[in-house]
Amino acid sequence: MHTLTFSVLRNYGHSWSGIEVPVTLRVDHHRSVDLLAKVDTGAEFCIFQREYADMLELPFEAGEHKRFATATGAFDTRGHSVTLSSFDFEFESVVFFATEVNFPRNVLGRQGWLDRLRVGLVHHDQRLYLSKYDD
Amino acid sequence: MTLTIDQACMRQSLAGFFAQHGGGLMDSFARESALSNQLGSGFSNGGDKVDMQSSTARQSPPGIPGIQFPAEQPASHLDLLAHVGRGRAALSRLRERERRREQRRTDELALAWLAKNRATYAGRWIAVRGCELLASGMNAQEVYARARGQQPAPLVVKIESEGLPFAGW
Repeated sequence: MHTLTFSVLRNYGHSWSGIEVPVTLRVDHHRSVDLLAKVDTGAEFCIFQREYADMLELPFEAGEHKRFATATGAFDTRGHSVTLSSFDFEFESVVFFATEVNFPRNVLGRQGWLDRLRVGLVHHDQRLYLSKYDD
Repeated sequence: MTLTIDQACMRQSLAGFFAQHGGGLMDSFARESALSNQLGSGFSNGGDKVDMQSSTARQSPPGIPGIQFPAEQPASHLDLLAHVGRGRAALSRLRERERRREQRRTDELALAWLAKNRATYAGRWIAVRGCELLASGMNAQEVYARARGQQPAPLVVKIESEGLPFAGW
């Protein structure tokens, strides 16, 4: 028998599709935006819609270029360092913004989010449990 | 050049801070101040000056950056300022915790609102705070401009059109 303890419980029953989490992306004291992102254990990185980079006034083209593969193709992104907050957790992460406008997804992937937390999931009850990795 | 700070002014300033940010700590401050007076630290004497750049100055306590006191000052003086520094830090943490709690509550209301109204705004950008729709439109920047800077912060999202089930990437 194994036991884990968590500091945050989120019921995602209201989410229309996926396991959505409210997230804040912040560049500095004056530039931040709150959005919804899906927890995605299959995504290597955290990836967001291009429009959020524009809201944060990031120098989009100056970010690291990275191309991601999907089951049906590939897409281009630019990486930028931001402060990523969700619930009581906050960390500096390099996240990627899709180059294409109207990109349809925001995901919290393994690097930059999942690797900073301990995560428990009981999808039957639509419950997501979270703690900082080292709590 | 030696800079000085008027202790009465400093005490008044600290009292103002407590009155604004924490009534309980104001009482604590008053007790500390009374004790300081009894010990003759000079804190009760409005005309006393504190040498801020004395060559014998001690390092300032945490949380009171830039203020140094001479080594000969009684310990109670430094204790008080350290106490103020800790109080300020504690209040700051409490405020941040309360802000996050309020943000979470607002986000939960916004998610419930979205669950009910999603179909109406399919394909559009919206800014929603709690049960209140602040803005909607096809232009993300325009919607964000109307939501920016508000507290608690609204969620700014594009409502996906209901289509085929998502199969992942």
